Amino acid sequence: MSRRSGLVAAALIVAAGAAIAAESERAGLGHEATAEELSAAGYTVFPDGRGLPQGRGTAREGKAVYQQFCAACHGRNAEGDEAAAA
Amino acid sequence: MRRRSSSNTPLADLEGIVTPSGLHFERHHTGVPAIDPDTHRLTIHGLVDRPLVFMIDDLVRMPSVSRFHFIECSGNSAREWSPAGAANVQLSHGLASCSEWTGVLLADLLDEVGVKPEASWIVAEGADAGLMSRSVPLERALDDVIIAYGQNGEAVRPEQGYPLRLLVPGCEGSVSVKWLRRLEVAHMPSMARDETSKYTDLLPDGTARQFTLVMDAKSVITRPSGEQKLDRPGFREIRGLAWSGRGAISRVEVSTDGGGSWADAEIEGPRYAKSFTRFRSPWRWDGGRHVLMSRATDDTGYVQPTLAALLEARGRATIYHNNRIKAWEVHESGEVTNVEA
Ligand code: HEC
Repeated sequence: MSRRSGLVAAALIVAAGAAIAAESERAGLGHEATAEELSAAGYTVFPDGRGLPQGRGTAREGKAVYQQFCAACHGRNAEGDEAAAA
Repeated sequence: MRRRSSSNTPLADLEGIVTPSGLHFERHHTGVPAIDPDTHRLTIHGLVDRPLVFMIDDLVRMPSVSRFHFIECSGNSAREWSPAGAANVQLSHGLASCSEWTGVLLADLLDEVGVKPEASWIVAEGADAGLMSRSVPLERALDDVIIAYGQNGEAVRPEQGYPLRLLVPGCEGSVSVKWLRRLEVAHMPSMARDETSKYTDLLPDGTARQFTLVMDAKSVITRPSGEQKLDRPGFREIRGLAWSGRGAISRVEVSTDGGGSWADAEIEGPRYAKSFTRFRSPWRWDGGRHVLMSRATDDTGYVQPTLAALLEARGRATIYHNNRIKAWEVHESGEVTNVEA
């Protein structure tokens, strides 16, 4: 259901003059994302691990991170027991 | 300001098919963000030829569409799993509303970025505190999905996603991600919290249905309905709303004897696909006890089921996607109450 065919047709109709989508089929709107914009936009980590940032770690190291950054809301064992987030 | 995280549309008090924007139901998972439209960016990236950033101005310049579509929370009618259900239409069906949405077809934006052949899903992310995100199959994204900036002739309201929301016609409302900031073209769904822990349907065998996105055909009588009172016998119109996430409504039947007999209601056109549709049926109340019910059929031939049929198919553990036939009892006193169908 793309409008591309519409744009192409418009381009053909006015082929003699105006530059409506003449060089490209695309509207050409929006701008190419810069590296800064892409990093500010964020990313998705997929269930198969795609999207994970560089790095490595172990569950043991993770436990310390969890205690520091997450336990206040999610409880000591992330089981929703004394959790504020539950 | 503290806000409730959900509120329902008072459907019984409305006419026609359009929900005034200020009465559109609300459901937010992590608050309503205040967004500056001049700096808001929609980034489309992932499995694309060229990742692009669109400002609102870019989107408004794109070819536009304006279409009537309902949005229904899949948790709408969650109280209807009990035999008599909720006491009035606002409580039983008010997590559904219908608007004229204006925006850009997502298919057009995907043309701009160029989708790579290995792509099969789109992950949409909002700019609310929890970065609410949902995955949409690419096939559907290329069909009739709108990136909406307009609602009923004005800008999309803050509670509805200002300045930009995804609008996935016919699908459970949470997929129409509000305050849209990022679309990642992907090879699989992200399995976000709201498509795993929430918005899945637990079946009796312990498995859960995932990505049950489409809202099936449904209808409800809004007049006379629960908590209204008929002041005297005589002529009055039975009115209601019907909708289907699969297409247009082709038929609505009304019963005034608790499902013993059914008669076709009049359907008001135009019958937009995936939109509220009005039905009406002339009725002369004789002052006696009556149980009023409505039953919708969509243009795929799907017929709105009874609660018993839903329970038979899904068991007792599901919360979402309840589109059962709803019944209202008119008492001799003129009072109208919810009643087992
Ligand atoms: C300030 C409190 C707070 C902190 C700190 C916090 N969380 Fe949460 N978390 C929440 C809340 C509230 C929710 C539920 C959000 C919602 O309802 O959408 C949540 C949800 C989650 C979920 C989804 C759970 C589900 O139901 O599927 C995960 C996973 C999670 N948090 C992980 C973490 C991790 C890992 C950390 C530490 C790095 C962390 N959280 C720190 C409050 C917190």
